Amino acid sequence: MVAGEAWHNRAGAGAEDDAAGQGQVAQMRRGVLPYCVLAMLRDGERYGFELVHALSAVDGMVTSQGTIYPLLARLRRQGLVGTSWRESDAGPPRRYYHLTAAGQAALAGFSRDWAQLRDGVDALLSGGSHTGKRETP
Amino acid sequence: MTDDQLAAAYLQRLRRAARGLPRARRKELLDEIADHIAQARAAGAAPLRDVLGELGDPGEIAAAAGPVRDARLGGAEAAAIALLLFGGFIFLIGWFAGLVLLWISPRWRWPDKLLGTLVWPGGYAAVLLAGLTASSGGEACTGGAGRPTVCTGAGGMPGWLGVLLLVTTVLAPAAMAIRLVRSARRVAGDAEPLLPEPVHG
Repeated sequence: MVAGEAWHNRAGAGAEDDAAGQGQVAQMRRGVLPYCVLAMLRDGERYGFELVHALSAVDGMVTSQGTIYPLLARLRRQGLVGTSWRESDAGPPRRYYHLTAAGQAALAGFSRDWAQLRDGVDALLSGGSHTGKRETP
Repeated sequence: MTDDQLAAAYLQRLRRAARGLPRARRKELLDEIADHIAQARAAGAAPLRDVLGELGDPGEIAAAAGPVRDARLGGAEAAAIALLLFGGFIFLIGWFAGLVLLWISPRWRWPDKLLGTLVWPGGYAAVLLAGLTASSGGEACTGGAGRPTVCTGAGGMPGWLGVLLLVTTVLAPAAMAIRLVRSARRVAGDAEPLLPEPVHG
């Protein structure tokens, strides 16, 4: 149907991915996406629509906005985010998401792991393991 | 198509794609997406077609909410339950076939398998057989003009206890079947694909 076509056009915008690498990049993105959602809530609560828009404004982060909602539901079931209903000025009440203590801990843990992984990969990609700095125990 | 029709058609596709999800999860997903569409339309920044395009394929969204394909009862599981209940009438062999299907199915854990085995061996054929045996043993009722009728079942049980026993015996396999159906579905719905590993913290 119509909706699918527009989606494909959008996905085509990430032109830096060649066909072979695209699957792996998509997989990596899927892996980090939950933590990106947690990170977006670090500075305070947001409602779903706002959160989805902010996330998809980051280039190449979200290919299908709708899949963020199941992800949010899952994070809630896992106790990493909480929700509360708020009245809005216009329209029906909105469901706001916020980080729980467990969510904050998970985010902090991931931030450390990510920094380590990123530095390691960067070092390998730019210099190779021979010239790069040696890992100190 | 008007925008209303377009939105309704999209939600209908999502509803269909999400059919296999647990009811609460399905409703929540549909509410959230409907809400997203409503808010995007209220904001009016983009044509509805683009909004729906960015939301993505309904099948993909439903798949992100859980494994929808396996949520229906598998053929082998349905056959197992049917054979456990009524397979005994097929020269008792049918019940054993059900038993085999029950124990080889990955959908059930061992407490369910034990339950399916023990309630009742032989299924309704055994219940019928037991009923015939008990009634041929005789249920004696004494009573007559001016006196309340008193019945004693086999072994001198009071009549109400016999009825209770009978009802329990007949209903237990049905209850077992319902439980097996539920647990087979639950196992399928439990897997959570998107988060690759449990988050530490």
